[in-house]
Amino acid sequence: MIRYGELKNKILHDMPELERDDFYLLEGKLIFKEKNKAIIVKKFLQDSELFEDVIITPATNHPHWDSEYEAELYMS
Amino acid sequence: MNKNYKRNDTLDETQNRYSDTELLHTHPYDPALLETVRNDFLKPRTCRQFLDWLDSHPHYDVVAEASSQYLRGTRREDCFWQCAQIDADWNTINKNIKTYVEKKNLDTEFETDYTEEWRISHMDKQKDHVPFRHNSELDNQHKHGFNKQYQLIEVTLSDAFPEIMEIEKLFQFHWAKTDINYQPTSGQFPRHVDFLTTGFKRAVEFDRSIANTPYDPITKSPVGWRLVRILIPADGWHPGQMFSFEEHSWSNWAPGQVIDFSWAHCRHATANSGYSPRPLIKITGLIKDDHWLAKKQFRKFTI
Repeated sequence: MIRYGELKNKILHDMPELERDDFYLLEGKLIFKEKNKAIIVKKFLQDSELFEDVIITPATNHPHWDSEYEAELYMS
Repeated sequence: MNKNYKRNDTLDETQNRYSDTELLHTHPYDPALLETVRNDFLKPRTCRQFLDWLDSHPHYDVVAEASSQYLRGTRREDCFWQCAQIDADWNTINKNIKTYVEKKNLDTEFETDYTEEWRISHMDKQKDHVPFRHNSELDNQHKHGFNKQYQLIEVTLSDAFPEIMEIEKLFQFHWAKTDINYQPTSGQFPRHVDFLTTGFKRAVEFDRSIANTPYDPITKSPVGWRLVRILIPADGWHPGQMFSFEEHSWSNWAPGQVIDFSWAHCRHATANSGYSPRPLIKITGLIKDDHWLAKKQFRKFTI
């Protein structure tokens, strides 16, 4: 069972173009400020074969949040 | 025996990460805020320091949410799994629970409210124990309409259920703590992750070595130990009764099935939308890595 912290460290270690504040965890999904970064991570996850399916959807933003997000990514 | 540990009722406002109090407890939590609180949570602490930090934190519900590192897509068998089977006289056990419930009017007087111990019985023995229910958690749940959750019936610290105490002993937990999570019809307990403070606080309160052991924020246990909670239905599943672990569901259960689960990371929730009550025995305690449960072995018991 891979957890968020471990996965994030792996992503940041293997892909220097991503930074720690590019994405966070929200209710089991990764949420990205930029969609193109989500696409990079999707390809990384598919190549690593950690999860069978990796899905990207547009992010739902909420007025009580401080930042805006473009994409959500989750696995199945 | 460590007599010094007592719950700190004063909130530590320096832990307040919100700039606007209107944002308190608004779901879904701000992802960046959760990351900040998670980083706070991951800081090194002893078990006692951790419990003090958690108890005095103004936003327990945010800490709990941040403490989950669950990733959607995790396999069902990593979320919950059957670890044992107990063949026992479940009819009698269930009948005894029913008698207790009728005597205490647990089906009819069903309201989850603020009480010192959030329990049903007056347990004199518990007077020395710290409360385990954080008010900010209940505030948040009430705000979302979860006013009827479940009734918690004491087992370990009472003498009402000797036959369930026999079951508790089968698992040889340190600081074992058993309750019956009795959910009358219409009860709903919203999704959450645990810290298992029910048993953990007793261990920290009375065992100085555990109190001073570093806390592992990934296993949510003292380093070198594992906190575990197992679930045992005392009655079979009835249509309408629900138990979810993230995107996975447990259903069609039978008395004596023993379920272990990832309580630390998998958000779990229950609802009784059926027409029968749902009695569930839960046993919490500490084990070492050489315990059969830590090795994910399966055991069969007959009592």
